[in-house]
Amino acid sequence: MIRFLITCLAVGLALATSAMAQSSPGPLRIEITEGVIEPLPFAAPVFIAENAAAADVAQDITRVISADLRGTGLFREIPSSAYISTITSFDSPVQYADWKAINAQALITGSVEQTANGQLVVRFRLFDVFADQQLGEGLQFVGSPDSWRRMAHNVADQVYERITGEGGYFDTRVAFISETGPKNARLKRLAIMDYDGANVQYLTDSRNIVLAPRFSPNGDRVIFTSYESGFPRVYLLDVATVQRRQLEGLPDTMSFAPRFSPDGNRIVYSEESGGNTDIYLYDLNTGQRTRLTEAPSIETAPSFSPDGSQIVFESDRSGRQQIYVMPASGGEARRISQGQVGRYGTPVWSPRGDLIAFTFQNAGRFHIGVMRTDGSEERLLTASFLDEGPTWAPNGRVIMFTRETAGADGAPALYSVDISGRNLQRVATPGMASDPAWSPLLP
Amino acid sequence: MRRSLYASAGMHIGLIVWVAIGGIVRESDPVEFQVTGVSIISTSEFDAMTRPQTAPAAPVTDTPAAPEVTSPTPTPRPPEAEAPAPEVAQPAETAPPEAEATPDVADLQTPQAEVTDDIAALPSPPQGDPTAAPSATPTPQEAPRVAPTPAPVPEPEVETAPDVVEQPTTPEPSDAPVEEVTPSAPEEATTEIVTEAEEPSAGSIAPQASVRPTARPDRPASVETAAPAPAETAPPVAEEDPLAAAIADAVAEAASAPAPTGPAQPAGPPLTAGQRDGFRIAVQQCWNVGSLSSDALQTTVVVGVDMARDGRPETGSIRLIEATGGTNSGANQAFEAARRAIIRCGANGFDLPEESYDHWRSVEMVFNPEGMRLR
Repeated sequence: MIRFLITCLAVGLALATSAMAQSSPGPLRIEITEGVIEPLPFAAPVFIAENAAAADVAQDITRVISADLRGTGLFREIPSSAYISTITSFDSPVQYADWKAINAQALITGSVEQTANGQLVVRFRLFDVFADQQLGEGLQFVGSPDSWRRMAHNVADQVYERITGEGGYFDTRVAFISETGPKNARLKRLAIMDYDGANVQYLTDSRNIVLAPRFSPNGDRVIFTSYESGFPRVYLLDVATVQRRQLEGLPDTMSFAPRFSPDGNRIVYSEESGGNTDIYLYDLNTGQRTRLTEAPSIETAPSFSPDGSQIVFESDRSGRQQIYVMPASGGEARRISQGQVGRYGTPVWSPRGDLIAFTFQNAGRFHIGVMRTDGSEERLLTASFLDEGPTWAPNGRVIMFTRETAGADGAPALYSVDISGRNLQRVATPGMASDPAWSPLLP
Repeated sequence: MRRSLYASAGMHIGLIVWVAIGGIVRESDPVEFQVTGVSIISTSEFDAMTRPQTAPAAPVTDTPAAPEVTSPTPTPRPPEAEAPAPEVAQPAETAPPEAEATPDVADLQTPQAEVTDDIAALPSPPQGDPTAAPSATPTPQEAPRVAPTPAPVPEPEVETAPDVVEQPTTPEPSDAPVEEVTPSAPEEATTEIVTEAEEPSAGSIAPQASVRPTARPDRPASVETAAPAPAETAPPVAEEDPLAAAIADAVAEAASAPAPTGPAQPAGPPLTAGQRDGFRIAVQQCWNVGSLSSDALQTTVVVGVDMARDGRPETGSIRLIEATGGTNSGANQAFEAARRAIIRCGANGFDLPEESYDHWRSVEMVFNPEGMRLR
């Protein structure tokens, strides 16, 4: 009996001690697993014009910055009519309470000055309003007045990067095929523009059909396919001089679908010979040509992984178009597209290396989709009569592609979409456009 | 009988079949004839009708000729193939396609390098007062006051005496001698005295006597005598029950544990599950992960914050305690998003019971974006 009582007493004492230890004062801990997904509100008062000569461009720069950020779908601009505070000087202290009151979570202030030697100086600061502090350091850009758009894009890139943690993509260009004329007699020209459709310039005339331009890794060259010789051949064009040349050493057969390697020294492309299409590697320095695939099926649309170790391409070796990955030196390829229906094509490796974008066709509809590099987590982002030819923004978050409408009056246009499938937008172009290729960030 | 039945059934079936498929074998409806009305004329009438066509042109009737309409010479419509292509509105395409056989090279050489050649960090501006109220400069105009000068302070009303609340008082111990009270029996409560022996017991179901347990049987003598010698000489510890040892350990551990001190215990009732959920929901509705990078969405951050008694977070106390799953950059972005959520939704104070303040004066919030990632 005594033993039983001792046992009860001891157990009770131990439990009481444990309970007291657990209930000892400590911070309350809560776990938050669900948030909201909505654009982040920001305020961008018109940049201060330090002198009269900079008044107009200050407004233009502010407008471009706001448009860049709004266009991502990640930010929402608070209209200036809601402002309580006014920014009267670039160096004046920020009245955080005023911006909190209108729920501006980010505040961009800046100034523009045109110096005596004609240079344009753009300064900006970014503030985390609810943290009552500046986000990163203020920066200053100097350039010629003609480059004011690039300076605005640079400011927007900085803001985007500081808030999202990802690199921006505003100071970039897009090469594309500009099209004119009726559907059965289209004239095509190689063109280049800012990512937002500004500053369109034409790199070729419309006498010959051109297709599939692709930027070099540093953006100084464009490789594309042209019918200048009567059948498709690969050409290399220097963006600065607009001088182009046909790749030497290629046999007189059809060559197409070229794309640069990450180091910019090689080109992977498709070559047709005797009714069979295979993938080849071409060394730009030596002119050496290496065959990577040898199959009786059609292998085309090759694209390097960012580290240059692998190549993703499309092939119909299984009877339907599917996506395969093989070593960059050739060899055994493994199929990564897992769909049991439809056809997969035009795979493009993301600059971040984590995803592969592709075109998917099924039941008379075309889609742009993404999948992991092993084929898992496939997601279709768009659907329409004809969506094809994805190209990645340099930050790997946005995809641009061609969408063509149905019917005799159907016309191609450029669209962009976030990899989440949100924020589908048409890219402004002066006319019909197709085959976009996104450049890296400009140096 | 049966024969007539079969005959009747056969006729009925035949009738049904004829009704059902009669339409199929029936000839299709005749095509309607199109009748055109004709009139019979004589040879002379026919000649009269045809003669004017072969005769030289001459006015047959007196009616004046209608004025000749001078219509422009119809031009043949160009074939479709030669029609100009419908031009899509393209500002840059107004020139013929061949116009840019040699693209303008000079335009391509935009001063790209100039922009990034001179990027200079700027000093921070003087810090504003974060705690300042929104400035009043652009605030909405106040309504016109009736009295331009503030009204004088009104005379205080007649003071009323506060309500007297009698507090229960404990009797003061007095030094007066206490009278000794002789204990006495309580007053009578019944009319007759019933002794215990006289109580009726017939209807009771209680046991009259409990059965005593049988005594434990004596241990067999052989066990003690057969015990090995070492067991007798073994120390008493070896004979201890393992349970007793465990109890002893537990007691010792309990005795050695530091006794909780009084002030460290949080005062007030702890938060209920509903209050905790309400707090969590209040924060998460401001936790905006829409602008976070993929890296930040891989990062779980634990953020500590001290709370004021009115439920507002103390902004300066928000700190990153722990980050797991991502890079440093991702952790920074995730922390900033979490901090914005706490500050924004706590600006007016979270709905927390003040009597439990000790329980929530310091809070750790785990922001886990696992369910918010792209799939």
